[in-house]
Amino acid sequence: MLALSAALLALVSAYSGLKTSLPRLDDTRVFWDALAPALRDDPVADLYGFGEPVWIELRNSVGPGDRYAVVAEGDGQHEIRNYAGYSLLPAIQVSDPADADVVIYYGVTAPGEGCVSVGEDVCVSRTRS
Amino acid sequence: MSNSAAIVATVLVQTLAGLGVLAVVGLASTLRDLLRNAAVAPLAGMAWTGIVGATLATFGLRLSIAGLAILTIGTCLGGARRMRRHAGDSRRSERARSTRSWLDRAAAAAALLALGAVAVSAARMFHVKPLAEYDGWAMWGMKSRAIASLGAADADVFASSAYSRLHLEYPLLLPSLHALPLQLVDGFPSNVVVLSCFAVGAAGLAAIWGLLRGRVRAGILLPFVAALATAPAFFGQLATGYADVPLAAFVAAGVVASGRWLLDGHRSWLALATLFLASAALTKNEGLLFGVATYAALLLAARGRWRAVGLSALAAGLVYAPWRAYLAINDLKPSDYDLLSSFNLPWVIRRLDRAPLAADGLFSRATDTQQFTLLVALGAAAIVAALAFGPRRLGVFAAAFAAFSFVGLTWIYVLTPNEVESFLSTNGERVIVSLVFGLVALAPLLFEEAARRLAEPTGATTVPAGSSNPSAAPPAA
Repeated sequence: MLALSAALLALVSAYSGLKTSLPRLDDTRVFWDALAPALRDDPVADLYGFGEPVWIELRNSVGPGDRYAVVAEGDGQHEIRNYAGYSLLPAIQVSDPADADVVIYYGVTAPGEGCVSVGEDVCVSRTRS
Repeated sequence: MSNSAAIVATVLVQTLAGLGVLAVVGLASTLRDLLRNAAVAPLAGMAWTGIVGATLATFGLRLSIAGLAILTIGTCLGGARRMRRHAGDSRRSERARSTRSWLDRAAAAAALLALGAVAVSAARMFHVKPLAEYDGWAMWGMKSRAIASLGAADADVFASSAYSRLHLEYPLLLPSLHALPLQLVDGFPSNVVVLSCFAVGAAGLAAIWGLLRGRVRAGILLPFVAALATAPAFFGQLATGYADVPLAAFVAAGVVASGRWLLDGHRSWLALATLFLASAALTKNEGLLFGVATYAALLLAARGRWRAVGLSALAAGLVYAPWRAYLAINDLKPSDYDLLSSFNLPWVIRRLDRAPLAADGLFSRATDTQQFTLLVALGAAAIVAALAFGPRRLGVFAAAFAAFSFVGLTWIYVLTPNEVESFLSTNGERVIVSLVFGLVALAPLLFEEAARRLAEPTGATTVPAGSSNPSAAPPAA
């Protein structure tokens, strides 16, 4: 009787879980299935409003052996740096632009000339080759 | 190679490694035994290769695919040697307890239906889901990719101030596991990390079944596995790429293996528990807390066997030690809480008023039926049944694991510099998963043993049914 009651309670829990889980799983699948495969590989820039074309350019501008710094200001600066840290690997992020081969100015005006624009308010300055 | 093929190939090799582990720890003396325990092999293999991968990464070395193959071959050779050495043992093979009545069979069939439905739906979703939730890509995805592309825990990333926002103090087992299939694909499709999480979660469910099927009839065991798999928190959180459900898989397997050791007394179970608890400690900082809670509960429940518990805890501690050394060498400090600050008594005493709020917040999340259905009620009922009808030793273990884990989690919120409610809102429903899943994974064993004792005529001697080594199994109190 005890075993039967336990099994029954577990089945009630499973049934209750199914009622919630199945629609959630299906909704999530439908949402992601609707995206283009290329965007589905890394939808973060698009989802967080960082602008996917800019990051394609940045990935082309910062090579595997590069050490880069991100100069950004304002509310979203940490998210930008975190996304760069994720998206630009195996290039390595450094805190101080003086230690960097490449400096990314993101929403910030670059000092001097020679910063190559890769998108609106975003440019890349190579300090060392 | 496609994302799914990379995951399948990696899991197959890890399963082979896991079979080797099962043989090495003495859970199989024949090939037949090995196949009977095969459901535990994927998670055991992930724990083993994850520990090796994380430790190598800590030392600046890569666990490559070739390295994984060599590790697997070595583990299998070690297992084969042990099996040969013990081939003549008179150990009786453990057989899965068969269903006993049409009610058992009906319960098992209903559970299989539920498992099938949620597995198909989840597999379709995981097949297309990328990393999109913040910590999923920023923390776990970044670390996985860094280990895959840089080859190790390069201090330029893992100890650098430029990445210090990303919880560099979290250990590296999970990113090391994700890095293995990432080495097999072109570029970095983040879906590989999500699928890798799915593999760990599925291996966790299989392991719970595999660990208990020799002792618990399918009519009880499968409904509990189905209850775990269908809880919205399970696949819902797993798909984010966060480490909490993978951690829960290792914790649950460690708790269940500990429970089997308490009942059967065979040290193979304790060896397996050591492996799973060590891997939990290397998965996330909270894993250390659940490991300590499990060992403390074992000390309470395993009277007269403290030395074995101590040796197991020591082994798990030794596995964890290189990571602590890495943290110390690179001066990496926890940002959310530091357990060492518990010893600053004047400071702690001033913060104790946070405990009721934290405990209430955690309890309300654990009992949220939209996330955990009736799991906490199932776990609590199982403890009551075991304490009332026996085996009390197992009931004490389950109750102590739950109590110590809950107190430990509450303690985190006492120590954190963050505001309690805000911190709870960011991680409360995640940190509680290991406690709930660990307890509920043990519940079928508690119910089965309690039911068996209820059915026994008064004064009958307790002989663990299906024990792998009856002569070595002390009667459970």
